[in-house]
Amino acid sequence: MTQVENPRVHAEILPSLAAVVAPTNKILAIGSVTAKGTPEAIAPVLPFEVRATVRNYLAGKIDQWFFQADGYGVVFIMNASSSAEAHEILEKLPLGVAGMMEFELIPLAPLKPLAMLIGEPPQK
Amino acid sequence: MRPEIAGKAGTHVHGWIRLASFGVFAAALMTITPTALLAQSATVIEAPASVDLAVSTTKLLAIGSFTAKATPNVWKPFLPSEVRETVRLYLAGKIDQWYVKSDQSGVVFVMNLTDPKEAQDLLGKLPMGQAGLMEFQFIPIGPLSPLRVLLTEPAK
Repeated sequence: MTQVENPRVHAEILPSLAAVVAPTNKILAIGSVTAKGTPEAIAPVLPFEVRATVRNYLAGKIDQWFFQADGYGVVFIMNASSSAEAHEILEKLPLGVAGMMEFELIPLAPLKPLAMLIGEPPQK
Repeated sequence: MRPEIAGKAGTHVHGWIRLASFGVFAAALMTITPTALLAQSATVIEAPASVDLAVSTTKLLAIGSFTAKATPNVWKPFLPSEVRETVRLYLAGKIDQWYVKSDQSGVVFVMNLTDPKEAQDLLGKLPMGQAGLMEFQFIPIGPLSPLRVLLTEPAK
């Protein structure tokens, strides 16, 4: 259990429920700068960070990418099936190697409750 | 100049606090000083003289989490109506993408909205929101502005 604890979990871990459980197919990665990541420290690394990020996209690892409009950080939706898999990719990014950015990883799955709507079509 | 962010070194500080402090931080980082970039002009990769990382909000990331009182026995009866209301929000064009968090702590939506208050208003009216069983945090997001560093002219 090396998974990073999700600080946004409010309720205790719930028992698996068929109504909500589906396989993890994406990882939400919320990247924020650390105390080491001052503007002066980040600037020379940024051109390398961007290129490494684009390479991950081209390799099919990053599905979507966004910038946090209210703060300095990124939001990725990654094509990975576990936090460990996403972590391995993200920790190799230059800012991660330099300890200037860290990611909060949230495993995602299809919106399983939709299954409640796909019973048999109404009979005529 | 930098805001106090030492607090997040130990445990994860609540998301909102972190975002609030980074807001100030971002202002300091909007324009990276040319001198800082000159320092690496000898490297193979050349960066533009300044990088404007400011970006406008185009979507909201909404992270919904069950509240402490939302045990499965409590929220399960709400599920059929919650699903239908969520699909209605999608059909109204408000929800762009939807996911369940694999740890069963809630949902993640990418929303076609830019105002967190409007999003809170819509999501707060969902059955679980009205019952106080789920609460949302919002992260305004926009285009990946650091891509701008790639927009230098190609080598001749």
